[in-house]
Amino acid sequence: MDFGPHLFLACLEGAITAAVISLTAVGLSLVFGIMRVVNVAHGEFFMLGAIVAWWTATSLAGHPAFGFSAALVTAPLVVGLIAIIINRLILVRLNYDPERTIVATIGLLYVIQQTALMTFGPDARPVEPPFNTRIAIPWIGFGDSGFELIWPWGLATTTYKLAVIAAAILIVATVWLVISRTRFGLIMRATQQDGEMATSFGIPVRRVYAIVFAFGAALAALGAVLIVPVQQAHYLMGGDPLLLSFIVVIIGGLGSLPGTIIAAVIIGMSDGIISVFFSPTLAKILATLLVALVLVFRPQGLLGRRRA
Amino acid sequence: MLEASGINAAYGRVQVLFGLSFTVEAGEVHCLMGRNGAGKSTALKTIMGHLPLLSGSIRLDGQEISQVPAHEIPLRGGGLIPQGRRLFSELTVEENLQIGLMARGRSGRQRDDVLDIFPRLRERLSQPAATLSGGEQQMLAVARALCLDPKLLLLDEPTEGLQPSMIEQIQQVILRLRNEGVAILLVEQRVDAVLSIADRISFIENGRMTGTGTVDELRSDRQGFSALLGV
Ligand SMILES: Nc1ncnc2c1ncn2[C@@H]1O[C@H](COP(=O)(O)OP(=O)(O)O)[C@@H](O)[C@H]1O
Ligand SMILES: [Mg+2]
Repeated sequence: MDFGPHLFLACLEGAITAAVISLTAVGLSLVFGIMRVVNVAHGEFFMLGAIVAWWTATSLAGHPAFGFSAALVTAPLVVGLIAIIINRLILVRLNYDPERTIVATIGLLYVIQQTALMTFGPDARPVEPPFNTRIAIPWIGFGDSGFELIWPWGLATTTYKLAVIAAAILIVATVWLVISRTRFGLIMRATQQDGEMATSFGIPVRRVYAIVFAFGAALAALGAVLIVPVQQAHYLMGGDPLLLSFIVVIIGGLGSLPGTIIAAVIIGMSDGIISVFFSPTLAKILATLLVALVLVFRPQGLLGRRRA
Repeated sequence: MLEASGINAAYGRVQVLFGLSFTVEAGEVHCLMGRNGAGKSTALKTIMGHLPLLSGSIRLDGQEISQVPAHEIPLRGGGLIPQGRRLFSELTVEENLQIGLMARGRSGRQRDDVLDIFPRLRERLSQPAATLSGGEQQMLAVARALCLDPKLLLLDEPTEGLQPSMIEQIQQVILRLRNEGVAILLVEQRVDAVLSIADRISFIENGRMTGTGTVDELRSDRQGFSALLGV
């Protein structure tokens, strides 16, 4: 394949990574922004989402679309519920202390991972996509009669992959609307700015925290449901989304939703492209290097504000 | 309206309030005075439930509130204008007012009434609170608390750092609320301001009440007053 079509394919892969990472990163960013909790176990919520999706899809007979649609509901619900329990059992008891919750969620990461290994097992398991029509993509080439449309061999995607990108855009847009336009969004933003004053105006801050933590976990689970027909469910799959989400949140600016989304697109695309042309490891190394540069030259991130 | 008796409160292990007792009646302005670090702000925070009580009792409108979760105190009519304003600075003026209205489910009418008191805020509704001038920010802090329609209003040095015209306006609002029957607990440092609007004055030193009296009593006992002020 020529370079042009090859690059285009890499961009498509990158767009899918960006789509999934924007969901996990928005969840991580909300939890950090509002609760000041750095949730190191966030990637495990993603992994649990994939496992619940596999479990839902395989326990339902019939057309794959049926099982997949059910997973879109069960995975965020189950994982959100698990998050509420974790919030109650761990975060509340630590009084949301920023440092102690980091240590606790590191522990939680291993607890969830090993529990998944013991129950789900070490194998990667696929979920069938609800639809998966191959779409060949035309390219403009220079032939005998000047410019013409050609169909390079291998330049193709699937309807499902395009749907993943569309779904992620839809979900992120919905989250943004909820935060900027609804009453609950206003409550979240007030809590983020000054929890004590929010309390003084009747906002039950602890309950807001519980909901935000569940919401962040559910977003990660939703991202996993979308990706699992492409990537398969595996008990170690939470690592990459966690790393990339952290990178995205730092580059985008802590607590800035638009920053997070822009950074997700940059990091997702470049991760996809570098992974295709070179190697996934190099992609992660470069992204980590970029974080280091941002931390040195613009510590508040692209769109983050400096805190007083 | 408010009866605090024997309140002991601490930040962690450091006790700051020692057996503080005072009352605020409906339609009364009760001023708390005392040096920096005496515990005035802490007393207000304790009433709002932000600090756990070691012992003592706080009754609002006849009901014990010292064991009530902090977010329920505004529901019962306790409103706070904190020291340093503490606006939701990235939210717009309108959104700050909405937060105030939410607490006790007050409607747009309450908002309109409050904006009639502070017409300048009406021109700034869609601006982030952080972009307001200092005086406007204090207006917003007052307006936000008034949106809650409080029965008891706690004000912590509301005129700190304001121009005389603004101080005048804030004082007018306080007197108006008093006439409407709101119980007002005001922390204020400036003696002239206190003498002109307070009904009763109490003095705090090192977290203990050192004296209390009506303005008239204090006027007639200049020496005792000066001693309490520590001047
Ligand atoms: N958040 C806090 N943590 C620990 N100690 C505090 C805190 N806030 C105030 N203090 C201490 O409590 C005492 C009373 O403070 P405060 O109530 O703010 O005084 P005032 O409002 O009368 O100036 C001071 O000694 C102060 O150092
Ligand atoms: Mg003070």
